[in-house]
Amino acid sequence: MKYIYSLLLTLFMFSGCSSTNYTQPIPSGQVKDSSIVIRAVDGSFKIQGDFQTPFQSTIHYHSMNMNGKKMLKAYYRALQYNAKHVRVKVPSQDKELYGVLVLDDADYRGIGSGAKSYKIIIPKPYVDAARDGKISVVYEYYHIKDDTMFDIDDIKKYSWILWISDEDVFN
Amino acid sequence: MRILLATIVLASSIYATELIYISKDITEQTLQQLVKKYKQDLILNDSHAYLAPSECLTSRYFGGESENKVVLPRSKTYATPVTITQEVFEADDTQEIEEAILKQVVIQKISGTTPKAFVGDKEGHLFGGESEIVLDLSAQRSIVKEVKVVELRTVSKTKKEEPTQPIVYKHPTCKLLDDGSGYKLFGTQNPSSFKDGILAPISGDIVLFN
Repeated sequence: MKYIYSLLLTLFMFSGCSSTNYTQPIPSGQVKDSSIVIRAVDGSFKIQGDFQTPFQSTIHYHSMNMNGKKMLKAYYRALQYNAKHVRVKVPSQDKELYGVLVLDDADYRGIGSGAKSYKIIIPKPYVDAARDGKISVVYEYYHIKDDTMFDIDDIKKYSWILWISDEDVFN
Repeated sequence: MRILLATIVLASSIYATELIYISKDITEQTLQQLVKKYKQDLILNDSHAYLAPSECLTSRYFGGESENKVVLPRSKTYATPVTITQEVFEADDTQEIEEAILKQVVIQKISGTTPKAFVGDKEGHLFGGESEIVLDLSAQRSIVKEVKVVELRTVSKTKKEEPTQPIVYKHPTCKLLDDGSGYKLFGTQNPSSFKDGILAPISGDIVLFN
Protein backbone atom coordinates (compact mmCIF):
# COMPACT_ATOMS: atom_id res chain seq x y z
CA MET A 1 0.00 0.00 0.00
CA LYS A 2 2.81 2.34 0.91
CA TYR A 3 4.49 1.53 -2.38
CA ILE A 4 1.35 2.37 -4.38
CA TYR A 5 0.88 5.60 -2.44
CA SER A 6 4.50 6.64 -3.10
CA LEU A 7 4.15 5.79 -6.78
CA LEU A 8 0.98 7.85 -7.11
CA LEU A 9 2.56 10.77 -5.27
CA THR A 10 5.61 10.63 -7.52
CA LEU A 11 3.46 10.54 -10.65
CA PHE A 12 1.42 13.46 -9.37
CA MET A 13 4.52 15.54 -8.67
CA PHE A 14 6.07 14.92 -12.08
CA SER A 15 2.82 15.54 -13.95
CA GLY A 16 3.20 19.25 -13.15
CA CYS A 17 6.48 19.41 -15.04
CA SER A 18 4.85 18.76 -18.41
CA SER A 19 2.22 21.46 -18.06
CA THR A 20 4.53 24.47 -17.70
CA ASN A 21 3.43 27.33 -19.96
CA TYR A 22 5.63 30.38 -20.43
CA THR A 23 3.26 32.19 -22.80
CA GLN A 24 -0.18 33.67 -22.56
CA PRO A 25 -2.65 34.51 -25.33
CA ILE A 26 -3.39 38.06 -26.44
CA PRO A 27 -7.16 38.06 -26.91
CA SER A 28 -7.83 41.20 -28.93
CA GLY A 29 -6.43 44.16 -30.81
CA GLN A 30 -7.05 47.11 -33.04
CA VAL A 31 -6.03 48.14 -36.52
CA LYS A 32 -5.40 51.80 -35.77
CA ASP A 33 -6.52 53.09 -39.18
CA SER A 34 -10.04 51.79 -39.55
CA SER A 35 -9.86 52.08 -43.33
CA ILE A 36 -7.20 49.35 -43.48
CA VAL A 37 -8.50 45.81 -43.98
CA ILE A 38 -6.39 42.69 -43.47
CA ARG A 39 -7.93 39.45 -44.75
CA ALA A 40 -6.66 35.90 -44.78
CA VAL A 41 -5.88 34.38 -48.17
CA ASP A 42 -7.59 31.17 -47.06
CA GLY A 43 -10.72 33.12 -46.17
CA SER A 44 -10.57 32.27 -42.46
CA PHE A 45 -10.71 35.83 -41.13
CA LYS A 46 -10.87 39.51 -41.87
CA ILE A 47 -9.79 42.19 -39.40
CA GLN A 48 -10.58 45.88 -39.47
CA GLY A 49 -10.70 48.32 -36.55
CA ASP A 50 -11.25 46.52 -33.25
CA PHE A 51 -10.94 42.75 -33.48
CA GLN A 52 -10.85 39.55 -31.47
CA THR A 53 -7.67 37.60 -32.22
CA PRO A 54 -8.60 35.20 -35.04
CA PHE A 55 -5.50 33.02 -34.71
CA GLN A 56 -2.40 32.79 -32.57
CA SER A 57 1.13 32.41 -33.89
CA THR A 58 3.84 30.80 -31.78
CA ILE A 59 7.06 32.39 -32.98
CA HIS A 60 7.86 33.52 -29.46
CA TYR A 61 7.55 30.03 -28.07
CA HIS A 62 9.99 28.82 -30.69
CA SER A 63 12.41 31.64 -29.94
CA MET A 64 12.58 32.83 -33.50
CA ASN A 65 15.39 35.39 -33.52
CA MET A 66 14.99 38.23 -35.93
CA ASN A 67 16.82 41.52 -35.94
CA GLY A 68 17.43 44.28 -38.41
CA LYS A 69 17.69 43.18 -42.01
CA LYS A 70 17.15 39.54 -41.09
CA MET A 71 13.62 40.51 -40.14
CA LEU A 72 12.81 41.20 -43.78
CA LYS A 73 13.19 37.55 -44.79
CA ALA A 74 12.05 35.97 -41.55
CA TYR A 75 8.49 35.60 -42.80
CA TYR A 76 9.37 32.17 -44.24
CA ARG A 77 10.20 30.91 -40.76
CA ALA A 78 7.21 32.65 -39.19
CA LEU A 79 4.96 30.73 -41.58
CA GLN A 80 6.21 27.53 -39.95
CA TYR A 81 4.83 28.81 -36.65
CA ASN A 82 1.33 29.69 -37.68
CA ALA A 83 1.83 33.05 -39.36
CA LYS A 84 -0.81 33.62 -42.06
CA HIS A 85 -0.77 34.70 -45.69
CA VAL A 86 -2.90 37.83 -45.98
CA ARG A 87 -4.00 40.57 -48.32
CA VAL A 88 -3.86 44.14 -47.01
CA LYS A 89 -6.03 46.96 -48.32
CA VAL A 90 -4.63 50.40 -47.50
CA PRO A 91 -6.26 53.73 -48.34
CA SER A 92 -3.27 55.06 -50.29
CA GLN A 93 -3.33 52.26 -52.87
CA ASP A 94 -6.01 50.83 -55.12
CA LYS A 95 -4.54 47.34 -55.26
CA GLU A 96 -4.32 45.08 -52.22
CA LEU A 97 -0.84 44.37 -50.92
CA TYR A 98 0.44 40.83 -50.38
CA GLY A 99 1.50 40.03 -46.86
CA VAL A 100 2.28 37.69 -44.00
CA LEU A 101 0.85 38.39 -40.56
CA VAL A 102 2.00 37.19 -37.16
CA LEU A 103 -0.30 37.62 -34.16
CA ASP A 104 1.85 36.10 -31.49
CA ASP A 105 1.11 34.93 -28.00
CA ALA A 106 2.89 36.88 -25.28
CA ASP A 107 5.73 36.04 -22.99
CA TYR A 108 4.19 35.68 -19.51
CA ARG A 109 6.83 38.12 -18.23
CA GLY A 110 5.78 40.75 -20.76
CA ILE A 111 4.99 44.24 -19.46
CA GLY A 112 3.10 47.13 -20.95
CA SER A 113 0.24 47.47 -23.38
CA GLY A 114 2.03 45.59 -26.14
CA ALA A 115 1.87 42.38 -24.11
CA LYS A 116 -1.86 42.79 -23.47
CA SER A 117 -3.37 43.71 -26.84
CA TYR A 118 -2.35 44.29 -30.45
CA LYS A 119 -2.29 47.72 -32.03
CA ILE A 120 -1.53 47.36 -35.74
CA ILE A 121 -0.11 50.48 -37.37
CA ILE A 122 1.14 50.60 -40.96
CA PRO A 123 2.82 53.97 -41.57
CA LYS A 124 2.53 55.17 -45.15
CA PRO A 125 6.31 55.41 -45.76
CA TYR A 126 6.57 51.64 -45.31
CA VAL A 127 3.64 51.05 -47.63
CA ASP A 128 5.25 53.27 -50.25
CA ALA A 129 8.54 51.40 -49.87
CA ALA A 130 6.87 48.04 -50.49
CA ARG A 131 6.97 48.49 -54.26
CA ASP A 132 8.60 46.67 -57.20
CA GLY A 133 8.51 43.40 -55.28
CA LYS A 134 10.44 44.75 -52.30
CA ILE A 135 9.39 43.86 -48.79
CA SER A 136 8.59 46.16 -45.90
CA VAL A 137 8.00 44.88 -42.40
CA VAL A 138 6.37 46.66 -39.47
CA TYR A 139 5.87 45.37 -35.96
CA GLU A 140 5.15 46.11 -32.34
CA TYR A 141 7.22 44.82 -29.46
CA TYR A 142 7.24 44.88 -25.65
CA HIS A 143 9.72 44.41 -22.86
CA ILE A 144 9.85 41.78 -20.18
CA LYS A 145 10.08 42.11 -16.42
CA ASP A 146 13.47 43.07 -15.13
CA ASP A 147 15.52 40.12 -14.04
CA THR A 148 18.11 41.15 -11.50
CA MET A 149 20.54 38.53 -12.73
CA PHE A 150 20.71 39.62 -16.36
CA ASP A 151 20.42 42.87 -18.23
CA ILE A 152 17.26 42.48 -20.24
CA ASP A 153 16.69 46.07 -21.28
CA ASP A 154 17.53 45.25 -24.89
CA ILE A 155 15.30 42.21 -25.18
CA LYS A 156 12.37 42.80 -27.51
CA LYS A 157 9.43 40.47 -27.75
CA TYR A 158 7.22 40.89 -30.79
CA SER A 159 3.45 40.89 -30.39
CA TRP A 160 2.56 41.33 -34.07
CA ILE A 161 4.57 41.47 -37.27
CA LEU A 162 3.34 42.28 -40.76
CA TRP A 163 5.39 41.81 -43.93
CA ILE A 164 3.99 43.52 -47.05
CA SER A 165 4.87 43.85 -50.71
CA ASP A 166 3.09 44.90 -53.89
CA GLU A 167 3.99 41.56 -55.47
CA ASP A 168 3.40 37.99 -54.36
CA VAL A 169 6.90 37.31 -53.03
CA PHE A 170 5.94 35.39 -49.93
CA ASN A 171 5.46 31.91 -51.38
CA MET B 1 -18.31 41.47 2.70
CA ARG B 2 -16.43 44.69 3.42
CA ILE B 3 -13.38 42.70 4.35
CA LEU B 4 -13.64 40.76 1.09
CA LEU B 5 -13.98 43.95 -0.96
CA ALA B 6 -11.09 45.55 0.87
CA THR B 7 -8.99 42.47 0.21
CA ILE B 8 -9.84 42.55 -3.49
CA VAL B 9 -8.93 46.23 -3.74
CA LEU B 10 -5.71 45.61 -1.86
CA ALA B 11 -4.82 42.72 -4.13
CA SER B 12 -5.54 44.85 -7.21
CA SER B 13 -3.27 47.60 -6.00
CA ILE B 14 -0.31 45.29 -5.56
CA TYR B 15 2.33 46.18 -8.16
CA ALA B 16 0.72 49.61 -8.55
CA THR B 17 3.14 52.50 -9.03
CA GLU B 18 3.04 55.76 -7.15
CA LEU B 19 2.00 58.84 -9.13
CA ILE B 20 4.67 61.51 -9.54
CA TYR B 21 3.79 64.40 -7.24
CA ILE B 22 4.68 67.76 -8.79
CA SER B 23 2.73 70.55 -7.09
CA LYS B 24 0.51 71.55 -4.21
CA ASP B 25 -0.70 74.59 -6.12
CA ILE B 26 -3.61 73.68 -8.37
CA THR B 27 -4.80 77.07 -9.55
CA GLU B 28 -5.60 77.12 -13.24
CA GLN B 29 -2.64 79.32 -14.05
CA THR B 30 -0.29 76.94 -12.26
CA LEU B 31 -1.82 73.92 -13.96
CA GLN B 32 -1.34 75.54 -17.36
CA GLN B 33 2.29 76.20 -16.53
CA LEU B 34 2.78 72.62 -15.33
CA VAL B 35 1.33 71.20 -18.52
CA LYS B 36 3.57 73.43 -20.58
CA LYS B 37 6.61 72.41 -18.55
CA TYR B 38 6.04 68.66 -18.38
CA LYS B 39 4.26 68.13 -21.70
CA GLN B 40 1.82 65.75 -19.99
CA ASP B 41 -1.79 65.71 -18.85
CA LEU B 42 -2.16 66.09 -15.10
CA ILE B 43 -3.94 64.08 -12.43
CA LEU B 44 -5.39 66.05 -9.53
CA ASN B 45 -6.26 64.56 -6.18
CA ASP B 46 -6.89 66.23 -2.84
CA SER B 47 -5.34 69.56 -3.92
CA HIS B 48 -2.21 67.88 -5.27
CA ALA B 49 -1.11 67.68 -8.87
CA TYR B 50 0.54 64.56 -10.30
CA LEU B 51 1.94 63.04 -13.43
CA ALA B 52 1.37 59.45 -14.40
CA PRO B 53 4.63 57.46 -14.24
CA SER B 54 5.88 55.64 -17.31
CA GLU B 55 4.73 52.31 -15.83
CA CYS B 56 1.12 53.43 -16.24
CA LEU B 57 1.42 55.07 -19.62
CA THR B 58 0.63 53.32 -22.81
CA SER B 59 4.26 52.78 -23.77
CA ARG B 60 3.72 50.85 -26.96
CA TYR B 61 6.83 50.33 -29.04
CA PHE B 62 7.00 49.91 -32.78
CA GLY B 63 9.52 49.45 -35.50
CA GLY B 64 9.91 48.82 -39.20
CA GLU B 65 12.35 47.92 -41.94
CA SER B 66 12.28 47.83 -45.71
CA GLU B 67 14.30 46.57 -48.66
CA ASN B 68 13.63 49.91 -50.29
CA LYS B 69 14.52 53.29 -48.95
CA VAL B 70 11.86 54.53 -46.56
CA VAL B 71 11.08 58.21 -47.04
CA LEU B 72 10.36 59.58 -43.60
CA PRO B 73 9.34 63.06 -42.48
CA ARG B 74 12.42 65.21 -42.08
CA SER B 75 13.43 65.75 -38.52
CA LYS B 76 16.19 67.04 -36.35
CA THR B 77 18.39 64.32 -35.03
CA TYR B 78 18.70 63.65 -31.34
CA ALA B 79 21.58 62.62 -29.15
CA THR B 80 19.35 61.19 -26.47
CA PRO B 81 18.35 57.65 -27.41
CA VAL B 82 14.62 57.58 -27.95
CA THR B 83 12.16 54.81 -28.13
CA ILE B 84 9.95 54.59 -31.17
CA THR B 85 6.66 54.95 -29.40
CA GLN B 86 3.37 55.02 -31.23
CA GLU B 87 3.32 58.80 -31.53
CA VAL B 88 6.73 58.87 -33.16
CA PHE B 89 6.05 55.83 -35.35
CA GLU B 90 2.94 57.24 -36.96
CA ALA B 91 3.88 60.93 -36.98
CA ASP B 92 3.31 62.65 -40.29
CA ASP B 93 5.54 65.68 -39.95
CA THR B 94 8.51 67.12 -38.16
CA GLN B 95 6.56 69.01 -35.52
CA GLU B 96 4.62 65.93 -34.43
CA ILE B 97 7.83 63.95 -34.16
CA GLU B 98 9.63 66.56 -32.12
CA GLU B 99 6.72 67.06 -29.74
CA ALA B 100 6.36 63.32 -29.21
CA ILE B 101 10.05 62.79 -28.56
CA LEU B 102 10.29 65.79 -26.22
CA LYS B 103 7.35 64.52 -24.18
CA GLN B 104 8.95 61.12 -23.97
CA VAL B 105 12.32 62.43 -22.83
CA VAL B 106 10.75 64.69 -20.18
CA ILE B 107 8.77 61.91 -18.58
CA GLN B 108 11.76 59.59 -18.69
CA LYS B 109 13.95 62.11 -16.87
CA ILE B 110 11.30 62.86 -14.28
CA SER B 111 10.70 59.18 -13.67
CA GLY B 112 14.41 58.55 -13.39
CA THR B 113 14.23 55.85 -16.06
CA THR B 114 16.83 55.32 -18.71
CA PRO B 115 15.75 55.99 -22.25
CA LYS B 116 15.83 52.85 -24.31
CA ALA B 117 18.55 52.78 -26.95
CA PHE B 118 16.18 51.71 -29.68
CA VAL B 119 17.36 53.94 -32.47
CA GLY B 120 20.95 52.92 -31.93
CA ASP B 121 20.50 49.41 -33.34
CA LYS B 122 19.03 50.85 -36.50
CA GLU B 123 15.80 48.93 -36.27
CA GLY B 124 13.08 51.06 -37.65
CA HIS B 125 15.74 53.69 -38.14
CA LEU B 126 13.22 56.49 -37.99
CA PHE B 127 15.09 59.08 -36.00
CA GLY B 128 18.41 59.44 -34.24
CA GLY B 129 21.67 61.34 -34.34
CA GLU B 130 23.74 64.14 -33.03
CA SER B 131 21.84 67.28 -32.03
CA GLU B 132 20.98 67.92 -28.42
CA ILE B 133 17.62 68.67 -26.93
CA VAL B 134 17.73 71.47 -24.43
CA LEU B 135 15.21 70.87 -21.70
CA ASP B 136 14.27 73.03 -18.77
CA LEU B 137 14.40 70.55 -15.93
CA SER B 138 14.86 73.08 -13.10
CA ALA B 139 11.42 72.16 -11.79
CA GLN B 140 12.62 68.61 -11.24
CA ARG B 141 14.49 69.77 -8.14
CA SER B 142 11.23 70.78 -6.52
CA ILE B 143 9.67 67.35 -6.85
CA VAL B 144 9.13 65.78 -3.46
CA LYS B 145 8.06 62.27 -2.70
CA GLU B 146 6.07 63.03 0.44
CA VAL B 147 4.29 65.91 2.06
CA LYS B 148 4.59 65.81 5.83
CA VAL B 149 1.97 67.76 7.71
CA VAL B 150 2.82 68.27 11.37
CA GLU B 151 0.01 69.24 13.71
CA LEU B 152 0.98 70.97 16.97
CA ARG B 153 -1.31 70.41 19.90
CA THR B 154 -1.96 73.09 22.53
CA VAL B 155 -1.65 71.60 26.00
CA SER B 156 -2.10 72.91 29.48
CA LYS B 157 0.99 74.31 31.25
CA THR B 158 0.48 71.86 34.07
CA LYS B 159 0.84 68.92 31.76
CA LYS B 160 3.96 67.78 30.08
CA GLU B 161 3.92 68.36 26.32
CA GLU B 162 3.64 65.16 24.39
CA PRO B 163 5.74 64.73 21.26
CA THR B 164 3.72 65.13 18.05
CA GLN B 165 3.70 62.57 15.28
CA PRO B 166 4.00 63.81 11.73
CA ILE B 167 1.12 62.84 9.52
CA VAL B 168 2.55 61.36 6.36
CA TYR B 169 0.47 61.99 3.28
CA LYS B 170 0.10 58.92 1.15
CA HIS B 171 0.20 59.62 -2.57
CA PRO B 172 -2.10 57.72 -4.89
CA THR B 173 -0.85 54.97 -7.16
CA CYS B 174 -1.73 53.66 -10.61
CA LYS B 175 -1.69 50.36 -12.45
CA LEU B 176 -1.97 49.62 -16.15
CA LEU B 177 -5.22 47.87 -17.09
CA ASP B 178 -4.97 44.27 -18.24
CA ASP B 179 -6.03 45.11 -21.80
CA GLY B 180 -3.64 48.06 -21.94
CA SER B 181 -6.42 50.54 -22.71
CA GLY B 182 -5.64 52.80 -19.77
CA TYR B 183 -4.76 52.72 -16.10
CA LYS B 184 -6.57 52.55 -12.79
CA LEU B 185 -5.93 54.86 -9.86
CA PHE B 186 -5.76 53.71 -6.25
CA GLY B 187 -5.91 55.72 -3.04
CA THR B 188 -7.70 58.69 -4.58
CA GLN B 189 -10.70 60.75 -3.52
CA ASN B 190 -12.71 62.25 -6.38
CA PRO B 191 -9.71 62.61 -8.69
CA SER B 192 -9.80 64.75 -11.77
CA SER B 193 -7.70 65.24 -14.86
CA PHE B 194 -6.37 68.42 -16.41
CA LYS B 195 -6.14 67.96 -20.14
CA ASP B 196 -6.21 70.47 -22.98
CA GLY B 197 -6.95 73.20 -20.41
CA ILE B 198 -10.03 71.42 -19.14
CA LEU B 199 -10.57 70.08 -15.65
CA ALA B 200 -12.74 66.97 -15.67
CA PRO B 201 -13.62 64.34 -13.04
CA ILE B 202 -12.16 60.87 -13.52
CA SER B 203 -14.97 58.36 -13.59
CA GLY B 204 -14.44 55.11 -11.71
CA ASP B 205 -10.78 55.98 -11.02
CA ILE B 206 -9.95 54.81 -14.54
CA VAL B 207 -8.04 56.88 -17.08
CA LEU B 208 -8.39 55.62 -20.64
CA PHE B 209 -5.94 56.31 -23.42
CA ASN B 210 -7.30 57.70 -26.68
